[in-house]
Amino acid sequence: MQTKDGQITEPYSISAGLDYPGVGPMHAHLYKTGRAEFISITDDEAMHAGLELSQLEGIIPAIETSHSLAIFKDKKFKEEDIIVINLSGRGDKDLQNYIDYFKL
Amino acid sequence: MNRINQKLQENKKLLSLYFSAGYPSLNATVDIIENLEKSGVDMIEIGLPFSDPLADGPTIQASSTTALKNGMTTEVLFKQLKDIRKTVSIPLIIMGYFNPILQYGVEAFCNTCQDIGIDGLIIPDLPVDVYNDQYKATFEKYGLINVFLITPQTSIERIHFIDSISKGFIYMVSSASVTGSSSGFGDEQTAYFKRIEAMKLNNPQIVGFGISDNKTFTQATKYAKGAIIGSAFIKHLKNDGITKISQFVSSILR
Repeated sequence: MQTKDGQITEPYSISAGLDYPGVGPMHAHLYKTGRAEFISITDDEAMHAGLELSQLEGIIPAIETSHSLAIFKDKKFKEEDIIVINLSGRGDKDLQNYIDYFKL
Repeated sequence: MNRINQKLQENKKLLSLYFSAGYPSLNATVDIIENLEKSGVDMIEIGLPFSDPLADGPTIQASSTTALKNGMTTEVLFKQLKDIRKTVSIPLIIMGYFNPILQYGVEAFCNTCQDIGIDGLIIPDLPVDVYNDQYKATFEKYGLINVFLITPQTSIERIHFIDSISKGFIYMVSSASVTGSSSGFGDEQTAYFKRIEAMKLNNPQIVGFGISDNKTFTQATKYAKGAIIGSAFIKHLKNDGITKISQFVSSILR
């Protein structure tokens, strides 16, 4: 994320780990070659997905991971599809953010 | 002949000064450059401010941020420097990071540098092999000398490789740190300076990072062709402004 003359701009995300202006070269390559699909998720979608996993499974995901969990609202899968989710981080570090967001 | 090469032939130790363009105020650039030349500085590094200056310590980070807030951009800098060669004859080097140059267009950037009379570039985040493979031809087409950095951690092989494609001088970073963070050189630095001197490289070395006064300038230039001062000069500009530049320079060269 940058200005037109190449200065880095400060991005925003509710998740500290995603509050970063760069894209790794592997992701950029996967995108360019069409081997992966990248989808935007709002703060609200991510937070609700994180809360849902916590309530259903007792697994508290990091807010970074909650973004990927949120795709099930929009992306439809077939019954025989094999789905792997990488729970890339634990959410105990984010508890205060969850508590504040949902006023728990 | 490029002004940098001419300057390197002079039989003296060279003092190069760095400042962030657009600092302390947006339109101070030309004034600072002219004052530095009049004060007896041998070479000037004009910093093109960048929002993520990974080689710089707190002082130059802050001056870069202020410069950007003041409205400094690549285009503004080029406009300010348009007529610089009417009044200034010492070598001028632009020091910046690669992304703004890439966004401007590498060839267009080099072309404008040549039109203005810029002699060289220092781009700490442009790796030497990438430069060699992709940009060397363009830089050389526009008569620009690209200056590479070595540190105490740079391998002998890489130093020789850098020496083989350098056309001016090698920027010898005094220690494994960011700009503006040292207060004097110890045995470790002296050993490193001596080790590099003993390599008898084709390109002379100019020491940067950690030079702030007459003492550190003298120490650094004992084993090298010259030294570069950045953060200490930025601090001077912050405290005393442009008018007292000659006093600062004489305190180094006394």
